[in-house]
Amino acid sequence: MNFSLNLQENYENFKQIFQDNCMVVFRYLENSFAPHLKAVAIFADGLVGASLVNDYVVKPFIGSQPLQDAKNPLLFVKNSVLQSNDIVVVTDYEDCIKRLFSGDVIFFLDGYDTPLAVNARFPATRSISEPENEKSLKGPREGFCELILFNTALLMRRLKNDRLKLESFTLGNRTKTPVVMAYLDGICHETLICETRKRLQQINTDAITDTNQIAELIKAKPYSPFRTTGSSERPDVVANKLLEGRIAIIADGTPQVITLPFLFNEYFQSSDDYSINFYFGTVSRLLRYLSFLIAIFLPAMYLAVVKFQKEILPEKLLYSISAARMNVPLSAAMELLVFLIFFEILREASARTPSVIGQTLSIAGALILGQTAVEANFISVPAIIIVAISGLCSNVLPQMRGAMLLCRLGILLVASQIGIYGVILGALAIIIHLSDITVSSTSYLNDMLPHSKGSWMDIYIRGPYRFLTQKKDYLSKGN
Amino acid sequence: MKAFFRPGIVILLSCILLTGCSRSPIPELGNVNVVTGFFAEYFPEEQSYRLSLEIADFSGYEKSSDITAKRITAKGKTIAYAFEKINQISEKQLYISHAKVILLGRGFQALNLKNTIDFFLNHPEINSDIQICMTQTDILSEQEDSDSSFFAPLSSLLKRETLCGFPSLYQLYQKENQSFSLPVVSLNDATPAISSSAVFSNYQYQRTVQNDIS
Repeated sequence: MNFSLNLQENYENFKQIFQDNCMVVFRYLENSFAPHLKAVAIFADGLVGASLVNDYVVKPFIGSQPLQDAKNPLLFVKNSVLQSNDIVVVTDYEDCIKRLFSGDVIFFLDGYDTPLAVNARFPATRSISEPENEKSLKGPREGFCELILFNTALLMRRLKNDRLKLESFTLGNRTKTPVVMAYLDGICHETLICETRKRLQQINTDAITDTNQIAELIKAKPYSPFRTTGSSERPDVVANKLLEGRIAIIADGTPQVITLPFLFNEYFQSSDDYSINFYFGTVSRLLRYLSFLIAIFLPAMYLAVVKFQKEILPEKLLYSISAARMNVPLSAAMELLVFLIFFEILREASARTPSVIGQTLSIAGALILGQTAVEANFISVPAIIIVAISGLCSNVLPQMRGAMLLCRLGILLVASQIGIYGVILGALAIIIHLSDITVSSTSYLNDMLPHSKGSWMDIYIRGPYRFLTQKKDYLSKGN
Repeated sequence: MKAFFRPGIVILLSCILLTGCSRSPIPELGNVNVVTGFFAEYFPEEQSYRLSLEIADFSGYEKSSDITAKRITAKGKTIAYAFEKINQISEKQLYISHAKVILLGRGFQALNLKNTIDFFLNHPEINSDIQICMTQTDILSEQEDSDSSFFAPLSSLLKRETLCGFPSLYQLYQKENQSFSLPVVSLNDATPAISSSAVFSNYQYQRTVQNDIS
C-alpha cells in the first residue's frame, strides 16, 4: 500500500485496515495557531504510554506557535515540535505497521506522504525477577524478561565495552519479531559471526515466538536430540558466554536467550559453580557427570544383570532381587519400560497441573505407583528404586532431559535383547553420534578431551579462578 | 533422506543380526531355581549316582537370613544323567552359577574323581571357584526335616578354611598327578564342621587324616 499526500485518504485507508481492531486509536489533531495544519496520530493502545502520547505528540503539535511559519512543516515538526527521543521518517507500509505494533505513534501530516514514527513505547511487561529454572544460591538474582529492550540493556550494563555489537534482525513473516544477535567484536571468531548471520537471514517462516524456534532452525544437526545451542535466562551467564567468544541471540517476547556454539561439556556447567568455593564447585560438577551416567545406564544395567549376566550379582543381592521378582507377572524389560513411561507421565502431569492440586497429585502418584503397585505384585521394588534413582538423576540436568530419556530408552531396548553387550553397543552409538556433531567447525566433544593446560581447569573440575582462562581458544581470536 | 541412509542401513543390519537373540530362552531372575549347592553320592554296589540339589526358597523371604531351602533329588547311571533328570523334575530352569559347594559322599572314595570334576567343570554356568568337600555320612538325609539351608553356612565355613589350602574346583582340575586334600564335613549339633581331611593322589582316595589342616 502506498501513502497518500492527502491526510483524509491516509486516515480512511488505515481506518479500513484496522476497522476490526479496537485497540488501534486514531487521534485527529489541528494546530491551534494554524488550523490548516492538520494531522492524525495513530497508535496501538496498550503498547504506548498514554501520558507519553500526550506529552510527545498531542500537546506539542496542538500548542506549537512557530509551526505556522515553518517553511517545511514536516521537518519542523520532526525536529522541533514532537518531543520524543527517537523519531523516524517512514517510507514503507510494512515498516509502518511494524513500528505501530512496536509502540510507536504513526504521525501523518496533511500534504505529506511520509509519516513519522514517534517513539512512545510503554509496553506492559513483568519486572526483572529471578528465573524459576535457574535459581542461584549466591549469584545474582536478575533474569531476562519478555521485552527485548530490557534484555539488551541488562547485557550492556554488564559489558560496558564498545566492542559489544548488537545486530538487529526481523524474523517471522507474520509476527515480525525483533531479534538481536549480540557478540563481542574482536573476541568472537569472524567465521562464527558470518555463519550465524547467514543462518538467521535464511530463516523463512511465518512466526517466530520463541528462541527455541530460532535454535531449531539454525541448528547444525537438526535431528539430533542433543542441543547445539545453549539457553539461559540469566544476564550474568550470557555475559560470560559472550566473553568466551560466543554469540547470543535475543528475541522479543521470550526471556530465553540462546547462545552458540554450545558444546557437550556445557550441559554439566552451572553458574553456581563459579559463585561458590572451587572445592564444592568441583564436587557439584562431578556429581552432574555421575548423574548423567546413572540416568542413562542404570535401568539398562539392571535389566542386563537380571536377565543375562546374573553371575555379576553378589549373593545377597541376588536373593533380594529374586524374592522381589518372584510373583511379578511382567518381564523385567516390560516392567522397567512401563514404569519409565509412567514416571515421565507423572512428571508431565506435575509440571502442567496448577500448584493448588499439584501436591495432591504427587502424593496420589507416589502412593499409586509405589505402595499399591508393589503390594498388588504388579511391579517389583527393585524396579521402582531403579526408575526413581534414574529419574532423580535426570532432573540434575534439566537441559538434557529429552536427550537422556531417548538414550535411556534406546539402551534399555538393546540391553533387553543382548544384555551388557547391548549396553556397550548403545554407549558406543551415543559416543559416535556425539563425535559426529560439528558446531561451527568445532567438534561437539571438543572440550571433553582438553588440549590446553588452562582448559583442564574448567571441564571436569572447577579450578581456582587464577587458572581459569575466560576465552576459549577454538572460539576466540585470541586478543 | 540422504542423512538417514547410512544409519538406516546400520539399523537394518543390526535388526537382522540380532533377531536371533530374542528367541533365546534366557529366564529372568525370579523365574529360575537358584541352586546353593550339590550333594553327590555314589553307590558302588549299584554303580549308580544320586544327585541332590539344594534350591533357595524365597516364599517366606523378608531378609537374606530368611532363606529356606528345598531339595530335588534324582538317581542315574551317570552323574550327568541324574542332573538331566533333576532338570526335568524342576518346575523352573536351574541357575547354578551361584552354587557354592559340591559335597561328595563316601561312595566317591571308591571312584576316580576326574570324571566328576570334568562333569562339573564342563558345565557352562558353574562357578570355577566352587568349593569341593566330602562327607562320611548321608548329611542331607539327616537334614531331611529341616528347611533351612545347609550349604549357606557350609560355604561360609569353607571360605574361612580356604586359608588352609583346600582347592576349589578349578584348582582341583590342575592337580592331575598331584596330591591334594579335601575337607571332610560332618554335622556338629546340626551345624556343619570340618572334622578331618581326605587325602587324594592323582584323583584317587588314599586315606583320611584327622584334624589335618595342611
